[in-house]
Amino acid sequence: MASLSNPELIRNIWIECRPLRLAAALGVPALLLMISFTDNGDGAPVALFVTAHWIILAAVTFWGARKAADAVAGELRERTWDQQRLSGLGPGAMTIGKVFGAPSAVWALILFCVAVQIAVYPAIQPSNANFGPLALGYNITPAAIVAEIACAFLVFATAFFAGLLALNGQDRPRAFDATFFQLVGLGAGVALTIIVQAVAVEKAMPNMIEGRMVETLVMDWWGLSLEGSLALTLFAGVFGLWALYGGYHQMRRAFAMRTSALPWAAFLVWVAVFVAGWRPEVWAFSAAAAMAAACYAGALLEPHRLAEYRAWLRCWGTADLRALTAGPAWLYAWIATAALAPFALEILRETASDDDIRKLILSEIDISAAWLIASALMFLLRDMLICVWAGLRASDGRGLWAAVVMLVTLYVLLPALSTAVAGGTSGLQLLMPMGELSLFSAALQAAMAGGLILVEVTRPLRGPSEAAAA
Amino acid sequence: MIEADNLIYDYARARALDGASLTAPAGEITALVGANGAGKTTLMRILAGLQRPTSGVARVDGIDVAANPRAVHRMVAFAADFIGLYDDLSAERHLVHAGRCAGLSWAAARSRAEQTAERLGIAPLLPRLAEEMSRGQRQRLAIAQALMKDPRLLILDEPASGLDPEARRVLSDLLLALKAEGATILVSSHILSELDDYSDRVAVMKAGRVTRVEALGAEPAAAMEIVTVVFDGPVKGLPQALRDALSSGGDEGAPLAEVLAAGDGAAQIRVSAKPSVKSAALAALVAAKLPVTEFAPRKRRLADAYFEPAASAPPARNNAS
Repeated sequence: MASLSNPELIRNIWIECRPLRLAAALGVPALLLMISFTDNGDGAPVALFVTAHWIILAAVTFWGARKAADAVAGELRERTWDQQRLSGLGPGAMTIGKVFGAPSAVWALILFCVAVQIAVYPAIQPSNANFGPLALGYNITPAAIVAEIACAFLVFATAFFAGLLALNGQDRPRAFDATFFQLVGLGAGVALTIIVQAVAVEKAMPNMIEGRMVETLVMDWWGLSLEGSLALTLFAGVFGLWALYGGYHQMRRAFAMRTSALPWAAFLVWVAVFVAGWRPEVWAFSAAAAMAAACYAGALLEPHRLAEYRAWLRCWGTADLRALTAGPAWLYAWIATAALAPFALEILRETASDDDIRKLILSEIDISAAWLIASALMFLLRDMLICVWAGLRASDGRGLWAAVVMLVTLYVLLPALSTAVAGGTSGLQLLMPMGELSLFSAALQAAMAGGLILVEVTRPLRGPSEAAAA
Repeated sequence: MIEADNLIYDYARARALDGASLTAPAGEITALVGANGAGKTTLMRILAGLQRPTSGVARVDGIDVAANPRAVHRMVAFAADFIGLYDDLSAERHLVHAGRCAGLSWAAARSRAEQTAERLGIAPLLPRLAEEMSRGQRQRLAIAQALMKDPRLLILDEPASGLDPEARRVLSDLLLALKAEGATILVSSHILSELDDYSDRVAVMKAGRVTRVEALGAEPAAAMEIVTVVFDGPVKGLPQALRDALSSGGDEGAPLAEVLAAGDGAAQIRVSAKPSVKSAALAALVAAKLPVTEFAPRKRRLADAYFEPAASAPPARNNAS
C-alpha cells in the first residue's frame, strides 16, 4: 500500500528518519525494554509485552498523532503546500505518502516494539495472559498485537484527515491547530476502544493457540461474536480506511479536482450499520443517534466558507444538479437522521409508553413520542444552523469555539436560568424537546438562524479598490 | 499561451478580481504590475490552477484551468515571493523529489537535478541543506525545483523581493536565458526597472482588472519620439536656450521640437521621428553653441506604461454578489 516508489513517502522518510532521530526512536524503547527485562525475572516475557504495548501507546499519542496532524499544517507554515499541490503527484500517492511518511519514525518504533512482542509471545504462559485495566482488559493474543497497529493507523489517518479538512483553502494554520487535529485523531482511537470495551462482555471463547476455553472480552455485532482484540482490529482498520479515504477526498479538493458528498453519504451508511449492529433490535434508534452525532461532528469540524455557500446557493439558483451533491456534510447527516426518525419512532413506541418518555426527558408536560422526535429534529437543525452562522462569521470559516459557546449557552446556561427563575422545568420546552411548544420554538429559532445565514451570504462584497485600501 | 477572460474572484468579504482579462503569447516574458491589492497574485494563482475563479474562464495552452486543473498543474511552475523549501532537506534531494513527482525515474531525476543545478549555478550547493543557504541561493533553488518538471509556463510572483542587487542581476540573466530557450514567463514585481531588463510586454492591473497591455521596447512607429539630450556640464538658462534654438525649422515653420524638461545638464525634448527632423534639431542645438554630448531617443520603459492613465477606462461593474 505504501510503496517505496512513492516520492512523498520517500521525502518524508528523508526528513523524519534522519540517523540521529531514528537512533533515538529505536534506542529509547530498547533501553526501556532492557530495563523491563532485567527487572522481571520469570515474568520478563509478559513485562516485555506490556512495556512494548505502553511504548507504542505513548509514541502514538504524543508523537505520531502530532506528526500526522502536522502533515498539512506544517506545509502551510513552511509555505511549501502550493508546490506540493503543483507537484504532479496524484492525490492518492500524496495522501498515502503523508499518512505513512509524516509519522514514519513512529512507524519504525511501532514495528520494532511489535517485533519484540512477537518474539516474546511464545514464551508467555497462559496463566500470565491477562494484563491490567489500563490496557482495557484485552488478553495478550496475536490479535492484540495487530490491534495496536490498526489503532495507530486509525489515529494517524484521522488526525491527517481532520487537518486537511480544516486547512483546505487556508493560507496559514493558526496556533494550536496541529494540537487540535492531534486530539481529534486520538479521540477517534480512544472512542473506538471505549465503544468496543463498553459493548463487549466477558465470555468463554475457544483459544486456538492455547487449546482451551479462555474468558475474554467478546463483542456481539449483528449476531457475530468477535473477540475483543479482533473486533478492535477489524473496526479500527475499517474506520482507518475510511479516514484515509476521507484524506484522499480532501486531497482531491486541495488539487482543485471535482468532488462530491457521496463518499460522506457512504460513510454515514457505514456508521449507521456499525452502531446498529450492537443491538439490532433497536437498530433505527441507534443509527439515528449516530447520525445526530455525525451532524455535530460535521457542523463543528468542517469549515463553513461564505464563498462555498454562495457557490452552492448559485447552483440551486441555476437548477444545477451538482447542488444535490455539493452541500455541507452536516446537511446530509441531518437528512439521514430525519429519514431514520420514523423508524426510530416506531421502535420507541414499541418499547416505551408516552409516560415513560416524559419521565425520561424530565418533562412535566404530556408529549407524544412523535412530537418529541419532531421537536428533536428541529432543535438539531437549529443547532446546525447556529454552527454554520458562527463559522461564516469567523474569518477562516472555523467558528468552532463560538459555536460551542452558543450551544453550551442554549443547553446549559439558559436552562439553568430558566429553571431557577421559573421554579420548574415547564419553560425548558422552549429550549429543548420537552413539551408541546418545543416544535414551534425550535422552528422559530431555526428560522432566525437561517435568516442570519442568509444575511451573511447575501451581504455585498467590498470592491477591489476598497479591499486594497482596507 | 495564457488566456484569461472576464475572471471574477470573490474572497469571503471582498472581490479581488472584477472581470480581469489577459492574453500573453508563448515564448515571451510578460510583466504583471499594479499596486498592492490590485489582484496580481490572485490572477497568477488562478492561472496556476491553485484557486478556482468565481466566474470567467482561464486557459493555459488551450486547457481550461477550472475544468482540467491537473493537466495545468503538470505544465505550470509557480514560485511565490516567499520561498518555501524544506529546511532539513538538501538541495539535491529537493530537486530529485521534484523530478520524481514529475514522473521521472530515480536515475533520470538525479541526472536532471545535476543539469538544472548547473544551469542555475547552484551545483556546488547540492549537498547543502536549504536552511544553510542565503536568500538568493534559496531563490535559485526554488526556481530550479520549479524547472525540474520542464514547465511550459513559469509564473513568478515577485521573485526579486528581498534579493540583493547581485542576486537580482543573476535572476535577470536567468530569466533571459530561459526565454531564449523558449520558456513562457509571467512575472510580477514592484521593481519596475528590474522588469524592464527582461520583459517583452507589460500588463497593468488596477482594482481587479487588467487596464493596459502593451509591448515594450522601442517606441512604436509613432510620429513623435522623446529624446534625451545631455550637455557637458550645467548650462545657464538652459530651458530658454533650448526653446530659442528649436523655435523654428520644423514643417511649415513649426518648432523643431518641444522642450519637455530641462535641468542643469540634461533635457528631454519631443521631436518628430523622421530622421531629417531629428538631424535638424541636433544641428540647431550645436549651432546655438550648446555643448551637446549625447542625443539619444529614449526606449519606452515599463514605468511609462504603468504610470500613464489607461486609454479608456473600462465601464464600472456591479459589485453585488
